[in-house]
Amino acid sequence: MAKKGTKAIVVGGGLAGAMAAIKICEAGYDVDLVALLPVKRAHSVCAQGGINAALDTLGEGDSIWEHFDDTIYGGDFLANQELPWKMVKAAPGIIAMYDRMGVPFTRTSEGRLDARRFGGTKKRRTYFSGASTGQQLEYALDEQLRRLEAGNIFGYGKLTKYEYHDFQSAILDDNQVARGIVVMNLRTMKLQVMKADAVVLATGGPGMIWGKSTNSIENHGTGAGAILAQGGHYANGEFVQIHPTTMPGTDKLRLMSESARGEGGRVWVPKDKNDKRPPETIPEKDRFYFLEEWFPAYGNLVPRDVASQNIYKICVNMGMGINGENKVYLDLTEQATGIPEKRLRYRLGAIVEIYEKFAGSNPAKKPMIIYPGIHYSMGGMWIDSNHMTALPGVFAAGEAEYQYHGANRLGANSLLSATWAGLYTGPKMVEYIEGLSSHYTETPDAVFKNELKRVEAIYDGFKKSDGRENVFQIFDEMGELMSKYVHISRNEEGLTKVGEELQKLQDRYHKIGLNDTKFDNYNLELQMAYHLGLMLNMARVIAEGARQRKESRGAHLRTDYTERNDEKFLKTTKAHLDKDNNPVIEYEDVDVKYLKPRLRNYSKNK
Amino acid sequence: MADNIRFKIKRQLSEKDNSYWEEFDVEYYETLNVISALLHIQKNPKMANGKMTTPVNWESSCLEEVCGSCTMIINGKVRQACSALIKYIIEETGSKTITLEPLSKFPVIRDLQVDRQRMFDGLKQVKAWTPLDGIFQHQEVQISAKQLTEHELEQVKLDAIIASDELIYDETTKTITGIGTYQNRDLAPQQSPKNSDMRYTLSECMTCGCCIEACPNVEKADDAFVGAAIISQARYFNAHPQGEYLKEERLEALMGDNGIGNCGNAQNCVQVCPKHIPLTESIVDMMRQTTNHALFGWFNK
Repeated sequence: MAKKGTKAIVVGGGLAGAMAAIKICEAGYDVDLVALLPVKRAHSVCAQGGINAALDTLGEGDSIWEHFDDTIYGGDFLANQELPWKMVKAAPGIIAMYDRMGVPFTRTSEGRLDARRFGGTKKRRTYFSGASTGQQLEYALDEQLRRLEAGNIFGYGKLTKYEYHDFQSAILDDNQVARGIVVMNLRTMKLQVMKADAVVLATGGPGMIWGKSTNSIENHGTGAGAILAQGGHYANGEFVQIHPTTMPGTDKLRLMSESARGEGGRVWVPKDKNDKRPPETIPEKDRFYFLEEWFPAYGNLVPRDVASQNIYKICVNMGMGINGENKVYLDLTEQATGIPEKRLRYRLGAIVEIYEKFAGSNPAKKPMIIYPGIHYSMGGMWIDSNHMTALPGVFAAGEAEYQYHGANRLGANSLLSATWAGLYTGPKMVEYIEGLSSHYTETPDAVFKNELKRVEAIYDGFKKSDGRENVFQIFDEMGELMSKYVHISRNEEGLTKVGEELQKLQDRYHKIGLNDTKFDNYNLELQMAYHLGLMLNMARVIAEGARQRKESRGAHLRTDYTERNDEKFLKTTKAHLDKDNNPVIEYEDVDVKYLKPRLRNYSKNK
Repeated sequence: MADNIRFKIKRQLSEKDNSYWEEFDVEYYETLNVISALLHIQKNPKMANGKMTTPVNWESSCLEEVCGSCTMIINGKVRQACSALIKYIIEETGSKTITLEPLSKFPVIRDLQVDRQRMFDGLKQVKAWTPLDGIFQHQEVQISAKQLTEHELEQVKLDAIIASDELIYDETTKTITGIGTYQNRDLAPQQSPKNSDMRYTLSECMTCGCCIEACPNVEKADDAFVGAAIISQARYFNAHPQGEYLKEERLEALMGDNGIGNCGNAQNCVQVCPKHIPLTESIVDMMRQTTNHALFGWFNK
């Protein structure tokens, strides 16, 4: 029997949200799951290369400890160490769980799980399903959710899905304790109250704040944005991963998985910058495999921050990009790598096909053309070691929070951290609910009504507003600004300027007018009007965090402060908004209880 | 002056309203795809005749053909809008006019967006899952030890490790061991790479709806036939060593009124599947399985 009188809400149907929902149902509580899209289409499906766990199925002497050290070292020591340690320990069990769920992992000739190497490690620790691992893992959880939705599992709570529903805000009682949320049903554009004793925001990353990224189109990071606007904190926002290998594009930057390099792919440019020959005809001696040359110990499998920053150096500082443009080759041809086309298609089929469809050339025959692009936010909602935000009853999990990856995430640790965060947060929410002295059923109606009215008033403002500014235009300009100033290489001047320019966009945001006046069915413009306000706040928090962090660490590269400065900045950035919505940056010590911080150097072994 | 592409878009305010057509011009560039064109129209919803209208509504997410959201009918063919590159469409048709319509075998939500809930309901009907008996066991077990090198000994904080209730440090062997509180069940039984590869191919199905749109045995939005994708997913789970435990229930679910008997063997589904899933192979396999079950199923009862 489900435990009555209480309930939990999960916002987001990606790996973290789905996993939390399953664990809460397993504990006997009913769950309402809110998602923008059908759960099966969540952004987790975009992850390609695999998921890390020190299972050591290939007998290389890998260990949990080494996975931990790689993760912390790779993150340039900015991650608090308690939760990542728990995560790497749980990792082998997570692979077993997915295997039991039926994920079609790629197998060895003997039928055991195969693994490949990823960046920032020396061990083959990444378990995978071809090159669409995220899709397969997401489907496995989606299937289990559907089973819970069908109901009738003895002892389990029931899952109810609210797809096409958009999270707006948390409902806080007089003691600032969460008692539910306000959502918008996108099929009717009506705001409604959902009540519960605990809420987890597994709302994903904010990649769309940069306009162009590898992220899905709905990744506005508005879960975090809403909490920030309600007094929550945002941590390490300036740490955003720039993936070294994405396809340059006009609508989005399509990811070409790190597994391409894990399988043997090599990054290069012509030695002579005026060399205009087709790449497949350029002989070995005329190619500059700069990552292999500069980082002999890790070669093409240096971590992502190092790879991206060095591709940038080749193209921008040294002017050696292909045809003088910001582009380099990622070579998977048999000639360069020794990988026969058949094996390439077997191990990396999904990305080979995406590349063929969008670039019109076969990566087995012709080197791919790639450049770094915004990919993943290491930063996110500030949470404590129980995954609770600064607002009691509001938890966060997955890319939406900041706990696991420090200043740089290792490839294939995100599917792991998303899954783990859900697994851990679900039971923590149950613990929290069981410790409550009163439940939402006893909360006065006025608490719910007041928050609903507050959000309704914001929407009424949009509907009545007849300004000339277009929300999509402001959104585009915000992306351009962030991509110009808060990207791979940063400095004081640019970061000051972007803060000022973002404020100008905030002023213009108050003068919007909507073209779409149908307010009772799917209205993407009205939705964007709400999201944009939250995104502009977040953009300012991220830019200001970057401005005040006067050091270079992991993905945060300052041309005016090129060294890591542990004395001043071995600290978590903890931001909130003041009463005028301006960012306030504070710092918190990093928990370094197991590993002493040491300088990173990927040109030699650790 | 750059060329314009003319988009003729079928619009509909809601399921209850009548549909109508509107035309838009979008400036051509090399990487233009249908999604980019829709984004341009969203920003500036001005029709080709110069009149302003409402932005066009559609559903999309990943933009790299892995989520299945943006399926629509483009120049009469069902496909994803993200991978519909305008330059290839022009090469193929020789025309700079492109029509966009919503899927016709699903209820329209608004404009190009449709409701594909029936597919998710179909997955529920065939119990497309493995019957897990819980996520994890919670028991204390030792997990792999790590012997530290001299170099590593300098890096770790031994005091903290000794003080931790989750780590044990053995002075004599210089080894760290962790205590795992999240230990799990074993892996699923070993599986042949061949079976795993076959299942991987089926697992790439993104529930996009192309197969249902192309199926002549589904006539309209409220037609009941579950369609090729769902049948293929039943096969996918029947081929897993633990998924197989629900095999009979899946087969019975496929033997009902809306089940596999509705397939007329037109083979349209396999031709339109963007992931090249061998849907007709799946249907043949499941027909064999259901026939067997019908003939000999009583034997197992």
